[in-house]
Amino acid sequence: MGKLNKEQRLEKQLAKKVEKQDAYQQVKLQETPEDDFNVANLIQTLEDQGQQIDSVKTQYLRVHEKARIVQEPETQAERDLQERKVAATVMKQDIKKWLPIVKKNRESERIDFTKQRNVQISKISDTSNALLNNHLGVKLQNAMEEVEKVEQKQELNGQSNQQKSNLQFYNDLKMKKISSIKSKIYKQIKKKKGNKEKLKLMAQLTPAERRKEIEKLRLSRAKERITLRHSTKNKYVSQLLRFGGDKKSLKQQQSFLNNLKHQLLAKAQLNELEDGEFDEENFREQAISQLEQELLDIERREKEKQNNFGFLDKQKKQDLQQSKSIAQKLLTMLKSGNDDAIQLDESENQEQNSDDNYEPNENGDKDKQKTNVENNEFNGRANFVNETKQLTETQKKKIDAKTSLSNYLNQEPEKQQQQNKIEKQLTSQEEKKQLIEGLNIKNIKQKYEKQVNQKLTKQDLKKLQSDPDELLQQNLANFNLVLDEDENENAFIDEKIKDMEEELPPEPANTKGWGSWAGFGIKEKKPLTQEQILQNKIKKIREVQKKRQDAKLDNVIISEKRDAKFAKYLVPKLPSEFANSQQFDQLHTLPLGPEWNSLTSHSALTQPQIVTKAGVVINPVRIPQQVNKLI
Amino acid sequence: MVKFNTICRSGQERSTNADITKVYRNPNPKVHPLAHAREYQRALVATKVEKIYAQPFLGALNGHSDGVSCIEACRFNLSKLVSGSYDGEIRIWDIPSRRTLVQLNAHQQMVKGVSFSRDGMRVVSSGEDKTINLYDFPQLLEQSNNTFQEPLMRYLSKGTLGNVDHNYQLSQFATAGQVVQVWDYERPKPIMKFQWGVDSVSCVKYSPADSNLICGTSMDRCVILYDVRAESAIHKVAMLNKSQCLAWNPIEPLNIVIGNDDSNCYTYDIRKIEQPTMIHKDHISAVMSVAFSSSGREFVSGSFDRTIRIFPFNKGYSREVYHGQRMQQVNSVSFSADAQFVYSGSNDMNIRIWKVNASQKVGTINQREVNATNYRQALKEKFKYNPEIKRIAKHRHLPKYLMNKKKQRQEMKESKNRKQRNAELNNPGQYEAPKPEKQQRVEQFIQ
Repeated sequence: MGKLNKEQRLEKQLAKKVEKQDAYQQVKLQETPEDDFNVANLIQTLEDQGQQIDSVKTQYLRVHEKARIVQEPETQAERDLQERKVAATVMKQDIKKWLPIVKKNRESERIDFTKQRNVQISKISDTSNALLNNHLGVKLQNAMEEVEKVEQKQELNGQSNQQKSNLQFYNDLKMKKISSIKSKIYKQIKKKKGNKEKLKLMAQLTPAERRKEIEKLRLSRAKERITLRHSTKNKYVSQLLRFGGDKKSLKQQQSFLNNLKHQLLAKAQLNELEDGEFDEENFREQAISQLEQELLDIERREKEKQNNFGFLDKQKKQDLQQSKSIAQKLLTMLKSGNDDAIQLDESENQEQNSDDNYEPNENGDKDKQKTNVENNEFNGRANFVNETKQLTETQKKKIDAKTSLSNYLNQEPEKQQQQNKIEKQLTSQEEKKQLIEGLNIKNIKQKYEKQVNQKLTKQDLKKLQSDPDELLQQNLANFNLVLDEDENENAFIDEKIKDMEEELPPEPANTKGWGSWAGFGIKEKKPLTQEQILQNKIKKIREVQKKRQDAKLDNVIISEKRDAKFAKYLVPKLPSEFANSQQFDQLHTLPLGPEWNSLTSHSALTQPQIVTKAGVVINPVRIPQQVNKLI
Repeated sequence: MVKFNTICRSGQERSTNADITKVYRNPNPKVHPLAHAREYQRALVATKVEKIYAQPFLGALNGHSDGVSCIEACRFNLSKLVSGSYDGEIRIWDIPSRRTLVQLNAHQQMVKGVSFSRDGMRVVSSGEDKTINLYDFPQLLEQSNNTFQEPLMRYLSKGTLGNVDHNYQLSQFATAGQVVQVWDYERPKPIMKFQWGVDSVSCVKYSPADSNLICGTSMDRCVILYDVRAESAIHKVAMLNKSQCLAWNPIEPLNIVIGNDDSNCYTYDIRKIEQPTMIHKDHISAVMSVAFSSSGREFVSGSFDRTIRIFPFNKGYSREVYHGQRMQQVNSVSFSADAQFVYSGSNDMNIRIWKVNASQKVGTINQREVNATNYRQALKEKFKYNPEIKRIAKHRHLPKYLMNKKKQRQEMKESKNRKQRNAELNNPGQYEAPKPEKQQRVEQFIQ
């Protein structure tokens, strides 16, 4: 029942609605015929009558159009929508002004926010106004204002400075141009002019001042000489820098002194070997004359003044004094005829050979003791001297390491027995001789002693005695073979070829029937001969060689195998930002460090994209005033 | 591996300290086979060292007796910060000394928003008690002992209020709420009202570069753009979830970032607001507050998941995450004006100060150090695709609840994708290609 009722109600409602609508339409229909008089109709009738009413007609149409718009009111929602659409277009138009700025910021490699002009400095008034009530606060405020004024002035000065620097730059450019003029005549004229002016100036000065000026000039010239431009492999400058600017360098001088001593000693030794006696007087005379010459030379050089650099002069002085003292010591010792003199010489000599520090006075005593100890240890020397006396005359002249060694070896078993006797027999003169000889032979002995003790048995020693020349020659030949360059190169090439062979793909196992057609009527292939296999291999190796990086490098082997340890330096997958691996490599193989770049490019490469600084307020972006005016 | 047939040299030429030697460099990379390996090692060390020296937390400002609801750093003075709490208290802080300068009982109820004027002379606050207070900042500092200071002006709003934001150029400010209102210093009533849609607006922000544009997020899940000149809204976009907060990019005033309740942040280009240009994911709970760095290159977000994250403006994932054992839900975050520090106000009544770059040294740094750090950064940038370096640089320690939630989300995402894929495979031709996620997140664009 309820349902029916509901339906009935609905029907009734619908009926009512329909009735209403009908009534509305009736009213409308009633209205339209009443509205008979119409401007449009009037114009129509007038036109039909043939009257000229064009102006009236156009005027009517315009008014009618306007009225039509006014007559149809919009809903609030529609009006809002229109408004919003207008606002959106305006906003979008307005926002375009930011696009160039945003684009510029996004594309720029570096944005430095610390360079903003509008950096605020906090004032006292910002922190508290309470301070201003006090006299102190007022004073401080005034002081701050004054400081600001001064800063502003400084800024202005800075501007003028900039102008000056600009002028300077211009001037520099001009001078550069002038300096690039290559005409000799121009330069001569210029030089003459300059010299004249300088002379005029010098004439006005007092002698003391003049001297100072000259010294200054010298200094500047010396400095110029030592600049990098002049130091290119120039022997003079390199020595000047090293040893203090003498023609004969200190090192040369000292080595000369040493050589002198060596020569003297060698002479003495030879004399002794030939004559069996040491001609002491002749030796002394020669030594004294040469040393005196050297001393004179040193004195002359001390008087000279070549450098104006303090540090170079100092070093030079020290060095000269040292060499002088050495020479003087030698002289005094030789003149006095003291037996210890030569011994002392030797100790100093040793020092200078071992050390380049030139501090003989401090360590001199220690070294003396050392040499004494060493000399006492080596006792076979006296016997060796005795032996040489017994040699024939032809052998005497050809004294060398070989013979001395063989002699020494002969003496070895008897050495210990003779030791005690020798010690007693030694006189002071003999001792001196031993020292001289020992120093020369000592090195040779030390070299060979170890080898001999290790390798040679008693039987071998006997063989050596019988035919030492042959054995030694054999050994030398072997030694030469080892050192042979060709041999070494061949070994290296072999190694390289081996490396290439390893690169070849493994050959399949030669099993018969596998990898070939089978069946009736098929010819059997002949297996390859050894020669063919070898030639194939050589071909393959040549192909491999062409591809290798070290193909043209004779002395280098570059292994191109993949190294597992190296994998950590590589990126497994191409990042999505990059189109291909070449692009990625181009950007990521460039080293950034200062070891592989110049300092400027290093700093440029490592600049951060955004630079901010604590304490610098960054303001929101603004459109430049000039652009704003245009908008 | 390279083998050389060695050439022996005699030691005749000896160099001394007095020698002036010119260093010649060969730029050919073949001459420097170990350059890459050496730089890789340096980059590795740099990333490790950065992790070791990462100490982002600088200190906390404590004094509020209720949760901190809103904070804002002064846009003019680097040392000042204003904060409002749930009990209606406003505090002004001196950050270097970490003490309260002014304490105000400003509102009867919760403080909804605080804002500084651009010149740092005015402070505006809005409260849940439908009042807006405008303070003179120097005057506040002057009478710092008076906790019941009267504001310069007190405005009464008819409807409820949301946050307040001061215009960057004019002496105006806008408030969110049932109606978005624009107020002038001199007028007791709002000079403009924007009402569009039914529900209230939770957050409004002025464009820092353009004084006419306002953007707002509403409770009916919309992001709305208003133009003050046109005296009307421009358009809005409805999303799947509601947004709590937004921030304008100050260097690119076309872009805004909104923090959504679906734990993501979205970047919108206001020219094409139909869909977001980027989704920033990482939070696991609703984003409560976002703030842009003044350099415009990164923004910070505070979330209900008790973490702060720093996102690069053009990356989908966060660069840094900060959390503390005692830090509760973060209600508000703010960047310092020099883009060096981040401040966060949380429910645990504290305001925390964080470094933007966790391992950066605070204080004066000499040029050598600057150069060295630049080199290290460049190396890290160069080798950032390298798996080992990437792993170390990416790793962050997270509390357990975060890790678990993160894993859970990942699983959910994977299973959803799997389900989708399987459905497509089993019913070929019945499914269309899925929409991109950016489109999925937007429900409707309304003009």
